[in-house]
Amino acid sequence: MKEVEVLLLDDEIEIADEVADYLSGRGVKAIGLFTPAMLEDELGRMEKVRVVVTDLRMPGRSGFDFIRSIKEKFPDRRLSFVVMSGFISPEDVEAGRQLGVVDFLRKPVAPQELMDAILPLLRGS
Amino acid sequence: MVKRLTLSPILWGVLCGCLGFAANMARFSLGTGVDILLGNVFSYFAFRAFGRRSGLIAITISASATVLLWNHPFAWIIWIVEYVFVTRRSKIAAPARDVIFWSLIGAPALFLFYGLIMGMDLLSMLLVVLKQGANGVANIVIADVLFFVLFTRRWIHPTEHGVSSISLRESVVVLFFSLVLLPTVVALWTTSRGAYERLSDESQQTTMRVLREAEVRYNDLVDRYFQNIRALTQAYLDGADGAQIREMARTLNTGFERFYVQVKPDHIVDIASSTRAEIHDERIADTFQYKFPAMRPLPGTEGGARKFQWVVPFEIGGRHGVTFTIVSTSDIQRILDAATFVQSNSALMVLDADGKVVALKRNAIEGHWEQRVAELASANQLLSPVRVGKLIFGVPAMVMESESVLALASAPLKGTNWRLVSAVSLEKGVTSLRRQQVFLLFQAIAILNLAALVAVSVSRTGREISGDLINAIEKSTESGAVVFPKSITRFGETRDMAARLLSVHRKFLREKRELDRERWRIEQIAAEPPLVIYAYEVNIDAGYRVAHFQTSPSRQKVYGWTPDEVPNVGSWLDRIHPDDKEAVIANLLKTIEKDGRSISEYRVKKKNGEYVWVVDCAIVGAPAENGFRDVIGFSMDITELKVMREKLVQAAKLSTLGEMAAGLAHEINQPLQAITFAAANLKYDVKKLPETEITPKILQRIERIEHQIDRASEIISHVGIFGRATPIARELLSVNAVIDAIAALARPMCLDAAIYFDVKHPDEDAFVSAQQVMVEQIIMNLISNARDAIGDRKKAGDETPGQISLQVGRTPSEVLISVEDNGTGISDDNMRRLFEPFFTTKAPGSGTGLGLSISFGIATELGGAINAVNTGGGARFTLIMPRVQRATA
Repeated sequence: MKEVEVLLLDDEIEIADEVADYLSGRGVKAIGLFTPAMLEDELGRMEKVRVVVTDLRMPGRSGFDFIRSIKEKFPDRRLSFVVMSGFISPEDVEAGRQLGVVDFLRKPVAPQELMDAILPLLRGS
Repeated sequence: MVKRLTLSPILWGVLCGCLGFAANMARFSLGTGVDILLGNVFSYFAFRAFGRRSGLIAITISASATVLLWNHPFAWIIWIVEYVFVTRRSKIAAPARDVIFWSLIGAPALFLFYGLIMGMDLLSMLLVVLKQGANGVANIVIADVLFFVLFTRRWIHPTEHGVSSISLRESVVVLFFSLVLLPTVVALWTTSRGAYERLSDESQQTTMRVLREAEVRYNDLVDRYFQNIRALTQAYLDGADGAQIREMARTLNTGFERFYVQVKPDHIVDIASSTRAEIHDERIADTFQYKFPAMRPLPGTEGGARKFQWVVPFEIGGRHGVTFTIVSTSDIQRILDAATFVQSNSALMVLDADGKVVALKRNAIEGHWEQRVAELASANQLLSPVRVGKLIFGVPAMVMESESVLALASAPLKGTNWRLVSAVSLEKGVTSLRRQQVFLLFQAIAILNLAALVAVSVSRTGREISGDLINAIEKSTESGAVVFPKSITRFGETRDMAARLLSVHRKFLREKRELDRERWRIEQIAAEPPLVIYAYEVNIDAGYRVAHFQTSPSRQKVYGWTPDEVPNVGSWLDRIHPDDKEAVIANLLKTIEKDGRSISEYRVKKKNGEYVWVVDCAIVGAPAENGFRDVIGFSMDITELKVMREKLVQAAKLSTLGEMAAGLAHEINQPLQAITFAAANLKYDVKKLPETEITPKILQRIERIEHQIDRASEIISHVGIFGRATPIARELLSVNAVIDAIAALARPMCLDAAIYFDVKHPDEDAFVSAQQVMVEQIIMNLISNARDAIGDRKKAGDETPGQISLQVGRTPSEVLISVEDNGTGISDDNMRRLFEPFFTTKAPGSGTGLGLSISFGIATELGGAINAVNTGGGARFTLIMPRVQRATA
């Protein structure tokens, strides 16, 4: 069984599940999670995760806080962050780039668009 | 006064005239025939109070009294002329005018009448002239004083005919004249009366004394004569001869030469003659019957030297008869001369029973009065002293007073029926009195002249003071010290008056300043053109009758209509846009009947035919007594405001829609995202099923889902841009480069649609600050709209080749990129809604209706704008963006 390479965080579990299923169906092992805590747990167990896709605006916590928290907790992991959000301001782009976000996808994101964004990140490893 | 007494001026004139007539008849005599008449006071009062005509009537009546008093019309005429002269309109005060009258007209007229016609002496004439003048001026002064007092006490009210105000000068003149003249008249009256009474008394006493003395002496003489004649008769009866009788008569000093004795009726003997011849003379034969001594005219001697028969009856020793002698007037005169003493300025005369002068003795006295005195004496009218003078026009004229005498007659003398008459001349006394009166009047007139000068000076001072006062006040300012000239500060009253005037003036200045500011503000407000103020009155009950329609002059400026072109409310209503008119009228009627105030907006036609939007505010007052209500209000051209407001509303609408759309987009994003991947997963799952189970329908439906997802996603992503979900990152853009890029995209698209496409841009480049994709998106959207418009036209059957021009224009501050087509153009309705979100003219499904609104939003965000115009052959859209210099970007 292939190791999980992509973790998806979206406060709506339907989106997280469907996106993960789509990626998994196309040979990219992914798990969709709907709370940051769950994602952190999974990340701690799964060594092979390379890409984290996160929403920006979620109840209780912003996507950037979450990214910052991951980076603090897992300083040694080489992770690529992709933002997938319905609203991305130029300030968000600026802040994201400083945190090492490699791509910004505006919802609604077409399935192929997501694949195009993630595949290069996995291949680069 | 409960009720004002009203009579016509004519009746007042008659009333005053009658009062004046009565007062003139009750004259104040100055004693020497000079009278002060004060009746004309009423006439001049009538002039003051009721007007000139009224006074003329009064003077005509009152002055006519002089005709009765003096028996000549001259005074009457002169007084009427005087009245006419004095009451002329003039700056000179009435009393002063009267002085002028008497100097120039009155005195010459009096000299003419009294001097030449009546023959008056100079002194009397002088007195008359002075008296008349003083009397006339006094009348006017008294009338004026009376009038002023009543006027200032408000007991009489100014009438339309009479005097309504009193001048200072007139008051001062009257005051001074009254101060001088009235005491003069009173003094004249009292002193003259006293002097005349003294004169009169003295003269009477003199007359009486002279008469009594003469009587006594005469009686003595007669007694002695009778004794002598008795002695002679006795001697004759005793037998004395003629020589003895003569000797005896000489010794007794009888004064007569001849004596006759009659002892029988026809026997008369001349006892003093030597012959003692009997005399037979029928004329003297009847003396025998005399029982008492008597003097009788000798019959037959009436003419020439008169002779008298003096008869003395006797009874001596039983014998009786009469003794008589014949005497001539010269004999009587001799007796008178011997018997009486006559002082100077007096005369004594003997009158016989027929009133004829028998003898006269006088001392320095003229004699023209004798005949008159004789007449009076024989009529028994001189029993007490009587002043006797010349009659002029049938009455004793005062002017002849100096030539008159005071006469007194005795009772018939003993032994005769003669009378003694004593006369004393008044000339000296009267003349002296008149001199005094003339002197007094001269003094008064001299003082009057001084008084007139003082009056003029005082009134001039008054004028100067008021002039100084006005000057000082006019020069004064709202604050700051005012130094009044000495002429004002010298008098307490004028100083107080100045202080009060100053305070009033300062208050006035303050209020004027406020008023000026107010006026300035109102002028500024009124000068602003868009506002038109109007007012009119309307009567609901009279079928909405409108009156007094007025508008501010600004109306012509704002709407172009002159007052003649819009003279009433109706013609204004007629110029309201037909779509608005009904509502405006309904609103106006409702306002007038109920609310009292209204604000309405409507379109109205200007003179140039253009409609402008106005706001009209009206306030309606409560109905007045005549049923009319005031309506005031203003209208204002708000066309510009209206346009701006529409833009604002549009912007607000767009903004609201944008926010709503952004919110909606976000909410839809999530489910859409889930659906997107769910559909992809579904397709994947289906494809893994056995082929027999996969019907074409299933795949078709999945594709349909995917297609609809794409469509929804496209809309959502557009809405996101429109709602500024993603702010534009700007960069410095070369307009020419952008245009080239757009041309590359547009050309193939136009080629496909068989549309000629051309690009025009200047060689010199220009720069804008924007995101290239955004500009491209806007322009491409415009080009695609243009293509569709040409397509629509062609579909409608117009096969004219399509053409789209992309042009770049520049101003110093802006860059203009325009897209022009020869399509259908844009209808008015569509033009208004052009930039509204979701507005589209395209068939459902072929356009979101967001293209132009998004473009508008982007352009606005870039600090620019998009506008659209119909060119006649199609439409032209222009994107306007601020131009930036390369260096500053």
